[in-house]
Amino acid sequence: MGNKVKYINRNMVKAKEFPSDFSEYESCWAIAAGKDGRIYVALCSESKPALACHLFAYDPKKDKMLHLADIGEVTKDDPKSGRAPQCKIHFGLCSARDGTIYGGTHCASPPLGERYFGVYETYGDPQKGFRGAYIIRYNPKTDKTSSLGMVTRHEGIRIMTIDRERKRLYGITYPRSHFFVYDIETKKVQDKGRITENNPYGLVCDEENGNVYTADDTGYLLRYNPEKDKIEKLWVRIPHPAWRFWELESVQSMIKSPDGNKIYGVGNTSSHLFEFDLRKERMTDLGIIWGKDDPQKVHGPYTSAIAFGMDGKLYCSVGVASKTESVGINSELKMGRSFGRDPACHIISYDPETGKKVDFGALQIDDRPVIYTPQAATGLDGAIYFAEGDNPPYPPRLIIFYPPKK
Amino acid sequence: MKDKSKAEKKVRKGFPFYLSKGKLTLRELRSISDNEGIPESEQAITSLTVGMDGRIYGGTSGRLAHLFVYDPGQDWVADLGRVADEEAIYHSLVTGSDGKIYGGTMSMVTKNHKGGHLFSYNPYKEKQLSYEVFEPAAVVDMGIPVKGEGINALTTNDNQEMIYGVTSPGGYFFSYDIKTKKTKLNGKATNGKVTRSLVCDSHGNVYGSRENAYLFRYDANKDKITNLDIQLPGEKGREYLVMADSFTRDNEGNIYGGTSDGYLFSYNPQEMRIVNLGKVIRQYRIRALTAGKDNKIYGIAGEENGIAHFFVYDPISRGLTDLGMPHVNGTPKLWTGYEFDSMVTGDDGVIYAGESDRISHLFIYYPVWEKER
Repeated sequence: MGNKVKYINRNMVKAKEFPSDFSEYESCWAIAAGKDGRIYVALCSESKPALACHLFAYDPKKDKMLHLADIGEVTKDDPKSGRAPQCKIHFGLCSARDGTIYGGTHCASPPLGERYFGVYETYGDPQKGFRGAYIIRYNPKTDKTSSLGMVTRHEGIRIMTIDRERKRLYGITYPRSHFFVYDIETKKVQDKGRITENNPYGLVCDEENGNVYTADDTGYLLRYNPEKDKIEKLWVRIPHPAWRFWELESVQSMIKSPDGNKIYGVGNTSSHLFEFDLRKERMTDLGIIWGKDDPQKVHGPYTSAIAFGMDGKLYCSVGVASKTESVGINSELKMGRSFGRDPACHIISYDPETGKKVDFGALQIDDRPVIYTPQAATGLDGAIYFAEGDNPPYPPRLIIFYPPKK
Repeated sequence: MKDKSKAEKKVRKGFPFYLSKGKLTLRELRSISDNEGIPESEQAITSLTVGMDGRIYGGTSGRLAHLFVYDPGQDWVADLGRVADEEAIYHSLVTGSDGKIYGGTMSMVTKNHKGGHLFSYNPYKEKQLSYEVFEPAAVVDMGIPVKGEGINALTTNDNQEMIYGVTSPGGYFFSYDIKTKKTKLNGKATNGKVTRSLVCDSHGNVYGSRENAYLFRYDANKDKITNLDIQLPGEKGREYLVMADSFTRDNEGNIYGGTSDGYLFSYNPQEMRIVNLGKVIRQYRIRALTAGKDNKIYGIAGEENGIAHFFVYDPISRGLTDLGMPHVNGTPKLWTGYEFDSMVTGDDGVIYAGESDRISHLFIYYPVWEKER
């Protein structure tokens, strides 16, 4: 990081705040662009007890943030019940072809009266534990959000994706990392069993053939083949520098290219961008997305939110690792949100045609640095929307980036 | 790397729920030369036995059942191959007096299953074990003891010349004489829930649970099954749901068992006295037990789709201690085990636990031994 911070052009970014009634909430995780041009985002609590997640939609035409649903009410799981609440939709918002938005709920924050949530210690506990994850559905035509029922008992949904062609949802549970299939039409769920130890944050569906891709803890790509009903290990690894521990190197983010023939993504301890050609089954390391990696740090530059712009370029926000981190399996995995007062994340673009990368500068809006953005989505208006992660003491915002016009 | 909640990080350091007493490692179910090994979905280790050669033999369940071996001396695992087209070897792997490994199969999924087979594997006829995968395993099919019934549990007598088994769903009790190579149907052991485990006392009597959580005893000398008026401990009223989940026997001949409701008990066959030793965690099930070389009883508690905990019972102090969740911290891989169904003590006192998940490992636990006992 240079001594002089280059900030992003103020005309290229905007922050949209949530209503002040929700000031207790500290993070946004899931974000999805709707067919109606609205941006759907989940406002979450990770640390404050007894708070249920809320679903919002940002309407770019009206420049309004609309409250859609209280997920505690939708799932009939009262956050004040004493159990761990439905406090999050992690990477689990999906936009269907007909405009419906699907979400998978998650656990993280403590139950009422507790200071922390121990997912293992309270697993299955009817008094303090998490009841289980639900699939929720928002219908933009009726403006109603409903629950489609619980899909996994005692576990949250870490990540979920959709096969719009076959009308299926795929997800991975937390903490036991089970892979599940939810059929939207029949409303039936199938648990396909455990696929890894922890932390696969990338999950995409190749809608041409229905195959679903993620990665295990050691960075190997996994593919669920619905025709064979089989999870296959591809013996292709997420690229990363040689000094990184395999045990920590899973996938942090994955998206499909606009033509649907490739997957782009990043590993979770390095910011090596990769391209996986779905047709040729070939992995290409596109190098570190921005900044420098350091063997003395648990993390390299940190990338989580990536999205393709209307111009065919890949946009992402990249954070930097704390200087106090140490290398080792037992080291705390400090994510961008833990960077404290280190420089804000930068918005970077990558052009798959030319390989050119552009740093638009540090993301600071209204004199507030943006430390971490967990997920991004591209709106029909061409803007890139970033969900803002926790950055205490500030409440989270929806960050809007307007890519330069040609 | 566990992704603890932010709030948890603030008030807790480390991972107090993980097993921390003793050392724990694991081995994947593949040989060094074979990247694939036993396929995922066929790896659930549901049976373990210690061979006369000191090696650990395992039987798996899933889409197909496999037989595998772990050699503690050379520290390698070899897949011995799938056991025909069978789906499960559940609590049904024993070592015979002839050094062969005997097993029983059952169906987990297939309807109208013709019945579980008894089979044997002869370790002395192995070829290039660590580098060759036999497909299918070089086992000898000894037939179906009870038509239409799966084999739910096997045990042997002390001299390992007799093998005893119980079937599911019918609860038939059968025996196999290794010397005469004859299988015999000895009768019906239960009209209710079928025991998930069998144990033999030093006099050759075999025990299991029957309907309403009562014990039955097979008397080998009289070739007779007796319904004992002894009930497994547990929550009053739930007896009709309860069965014996696991058994082991210590060096002094005391039997220890675990119930499907998660209670540990001891049973003295001479005094015909059963003692409730309590419940170690909130969950149901005690899915595996083994007597350690230190005369302590080690076990695994935790229900299906739950969170497994290792525990130890000390007969001297009468202390029942939760050792925590089995978690291997990076060597050879980072992994937490949630589901287990088998546990044995190796000749060297090392404890082996069979993970029974879609992706499974042989966990190797080195307990802390006290010098004077």
